[in-house]
Order: sequence, then structure tokens, then C-alpha cells
Amino acid sequence: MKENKDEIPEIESFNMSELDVSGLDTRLELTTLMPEVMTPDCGPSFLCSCFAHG
Amino acid sequence: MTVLLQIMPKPEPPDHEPANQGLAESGGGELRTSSYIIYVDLPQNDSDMLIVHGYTGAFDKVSRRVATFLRAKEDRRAPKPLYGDWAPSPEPAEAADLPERYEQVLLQRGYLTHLSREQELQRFRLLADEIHAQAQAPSYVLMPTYDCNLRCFYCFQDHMRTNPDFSYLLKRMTHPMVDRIFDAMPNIEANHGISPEDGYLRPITLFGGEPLLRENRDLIEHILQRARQGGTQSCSVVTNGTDLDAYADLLGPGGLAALQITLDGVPVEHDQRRVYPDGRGSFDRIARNITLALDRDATVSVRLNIDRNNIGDLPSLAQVFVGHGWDERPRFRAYATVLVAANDKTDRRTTFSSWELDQELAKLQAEHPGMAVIEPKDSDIRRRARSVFGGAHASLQTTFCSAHSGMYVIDRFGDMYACWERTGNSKTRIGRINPDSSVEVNEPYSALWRGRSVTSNPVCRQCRYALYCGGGCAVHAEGRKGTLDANYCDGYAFRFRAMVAEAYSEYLSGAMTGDPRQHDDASIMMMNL
Repeated sequence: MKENKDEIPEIESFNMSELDVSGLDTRLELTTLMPEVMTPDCGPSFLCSCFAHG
Repeated sequence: MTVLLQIMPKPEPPDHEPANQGLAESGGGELRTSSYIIYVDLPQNDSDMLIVHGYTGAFDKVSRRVATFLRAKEDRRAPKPLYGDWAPSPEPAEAADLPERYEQVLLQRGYLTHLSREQELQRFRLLADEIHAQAQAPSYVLMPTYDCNLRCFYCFQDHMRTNPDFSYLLKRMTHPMVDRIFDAMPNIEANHGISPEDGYLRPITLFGGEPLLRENRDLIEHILQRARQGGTQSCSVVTNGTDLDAYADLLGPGGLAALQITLDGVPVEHDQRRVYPDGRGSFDRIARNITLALDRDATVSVRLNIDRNNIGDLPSLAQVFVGHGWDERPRFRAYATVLVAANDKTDRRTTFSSWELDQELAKLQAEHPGMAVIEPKDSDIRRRARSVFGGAHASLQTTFCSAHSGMYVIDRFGDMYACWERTGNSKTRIGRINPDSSVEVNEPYSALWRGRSVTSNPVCRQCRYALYCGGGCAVHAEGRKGTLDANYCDGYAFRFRAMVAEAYSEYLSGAMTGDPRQHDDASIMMMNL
């Protein structure tokens, strides 16, 4: 956890400590901030609410 | 599947990106709170709360003062808390109380913005569309047959086995059709920009009907053989588990490695629900086969279809799992999900919504610690949040499932569908595989399925939860609203906040590393094969 206690004790960041979207103006720059993109697979590990089957 | 986005080169100047003009933060409009903040209040904590950003993926703990500051700058109605009350209502004057250095951090993490509401919506759309375009790797679900040896009353495919008009569906896939399908896979992958030289390992799942009927043994061996020729060593299977003993030597890594098997209660209840055509129950046979699969090092994910009639069984069922020793097996997991009224044999009044089920499970877990062996379906949200509290990036998804990205469900006729809930009717196929293994795409229908994302309907693209929820199940949405391209929320806002708060509580108590049953992302990837 990044603890901003020196400057801002009321905000503690858990992830993406280098995140700064305050100056972004294009979609491509923004996507570089998102290295983890999920596409859930429809397989046995997908805890889905699909219709029950027999 | 998790797709790692590449770091992209800095784009050309704005005259090459006309759609993005006017999105700059600096020199923009009045400072306001982002439209995509999720406020996660914590039970029995009046001093702090969590805030989660809907598209930057930031997770932070803030004081109530900071949260109140943000809520005061919301230009739309702030959501109601999950626990207790937020009182008093924030006054605009409170916004002036926060030091400037706080504002700067909140700006950097996306919680504050100079973008107008419309500009931020445009940013969200551009970002989500970019992600969606890159998360399209193909996966395959092969349906060796629509036939099944059980007659569960709630099955969404019940009509296929009970209505003679559909009897033509019940023949099994032939070996030449298997060859035709595998020969077509490079053509499908070419449409996704993947060439044979890329060495793409195809995720392959078997589904049905019941794919592992005893009489399908030769066919399944042939599918595995063809999969291996393409580099895929293992397949996953959604199976009822009744005939697994016929596949004993194929179970485990290098074969049928991951299985989803359904149990619907303690033996006496299960045997009322999951029955053979002559009315016999199936619990004992399935239980023996689960142990067999675990002995062969296969991963077994037991699905429990829960309604108001069998939820009371869960504490006893957990004891059954313990009695079989499954709770000690690292490759065993069990999860409860809602039983869906998919046909007129199921009384909707007996069913739960997903949020109702989560709440009922939480009550049972509190009363019966042994229930820990049974996860709620939403434990996936909790697991992902726990990894974020450990410093990981949030996992964002633009779709509810891979029906809207790269999944191909292929049946014995060579018909391709986007979703296994919509199979068996060639009018709804997204394409077909021709005898020469060329691939014919039904463009309008394919575009309808593949184009559905959190930006394709106006409700989702303005929703702060969209990139965590993915828009919900399209089939459910169609059932409610008459179109696939609609939202299906299913109480997601409640479920997300409850699970994130629970994950935070576990994080504080140090439970993140203490429970071997808590699968991390790496093990999920392994299970996806």
C-alpha cells in the first residue's frame, strides 16, 4: 500500500502508485495505464450465472 | 483470459486524432468529481471508506471528510450507502475545506477531473472501445452432442430431449466433423490476426448436452488428439460427472484437466433434481467420480444451483464435502450460484437474485463456519479485490463474458454460436464451418454479439461499475428488455461493494495468504489452460 502519510494522511492508495491521469488527453496514453484487462472465459473456472444445464 | 496490453508509442499530434480533441485535463473546465467513482462504505467503520475508480482502476482508502468532499462535487445523485446512512448530506461548502495538495492527488488518480460530464463519457468510451478491440483472442467450446443422460427439471436444454421436434439434435458429432472444425481453426484465428506461426495455444472447452457420455469415448479421444496436434495439451469440460469413470485415464493434466460438475444439495435433495430418465438419482455415482478426478489431479469446480428449496441444505452439504475429504484437496472448489428459471418447469417464485443469494450465503456462513468450503459465485469479485489490496492492478472487463469477444461455440453440425445458451437453432448462429473448413460468418448476427460491450448501450457507458461488471449476461438482458444490447445489472452495485468491503476486511486481518482455498489469478489462469 502506498501511504501518503507525510503529505496527505487521509488518502491511502493500494495500487497504481504512479497513476496520474490529470494531464492525459488521448485514448492511447490512457490505455497504457491499464495493463490488466479481463475477458472472462466461459469455462469451468468462470463463476458464472449462466443458465443451469443438465 | 487475461490480456496484457502492450505499452503503446506516444500517438501522433491531435490533428491525427480528431476524436480526442478537447479531452485535455489541463486548462479544462471547472473541477468536479468524476462520474465513475464507486464509494465502498465499510461496515462498523464511521471514519474511513474505500473509493474505487471505474476506469483508472485505482483503489484508495480515504477519510469520511475526503469522501464527503467528493460526494459534494458529484454532479449527479450520489449512490446510497450499502451500510447505514451517510449523514448529514454533504454541503457544497464542505468542498472548500480540503487542502489543495489533496485535490492534486485526487486529480492524479482520476477521482477529480476538469473534464465535463460529456467529455469524460467520451474518454470512457474511447478507452473501453480500445480495450474491447484488443481483448478478442479466440476460444473454443465444442459440443460433441446435445444429448444427455440426465433429465434435470430446470435444464435450459430440456426441450431438446423431451420434445420430439428437436430429436434431430441428439446425434453425436462425427470424427470427420471434428477434423473439419480443427482444420477451420486457423481460418478463424486469421480473422483475429493470429497466424499459425504465432504458436497460439487454443483454449478448448467441451460442453453439451453431456459431452462425456460413456459412448462418446472414441470421439473425445479424437478431439484431444487433434487439440494436441495444435499445441493445446489440456481441455476443460462442463460435465455432469456421471460417466467420468469411462474417461479415468484421460483425466488430469495433459488431458481433461479442469472439470465443472454440478451437485444440487445433499444426496436426497440432489437425487430429486439431477435424475436419470427412469427417475434414479445420480449423487453417489457423481461423488465417486469427483474423487476419481481429484485422484488423477484434475481440477474440479463443483457448481451448486441454489434456490429457496435447497439453500437450507448447504451446511449439511458442506459436511458431505468434508466427509469425502474434498475440502483438503487443493484442486477442489465449490461455488453456489442462482438457479435460473429457464423453462416452465421451474417456479420463478422459488429462485433467488444473485444479490439475494449472496446475502443468504453470508448469513449461513456466519452461522456455520464449516460453510467456508462453499464459495459464493461473487467470490471472484472478492478475490480480485484482495489482489488489488496487495498492490495489483484492477482487472477491467468490457464484456460480461467471452460471448462478446472471441468465443466460438461449435456444435455437431459445424454451426458456430457466440453463446452456449443460444445453441441448437441455426437461425441464431454467428456462422458455420463449411465442408472444406472454410468459415462462413453471419455478419449481422455476429456483429450483434461481438459488438456488445459496456459502450454499446447508454446505461452501461454511464455506469460507474461498468468495467468491473461488463454489462451483465446478454441472454438475461434479452429476456428482460427484448434485446441483447441492454444492461442486465443483477444487483451488481450491491454485490461489488459487499465483496470489496469483505476483501478489505480480510486484507486487514491478514487472511490474504492464510487460506489455501483462495485461488489467485495465476491458478485461475492455470484452470483456464
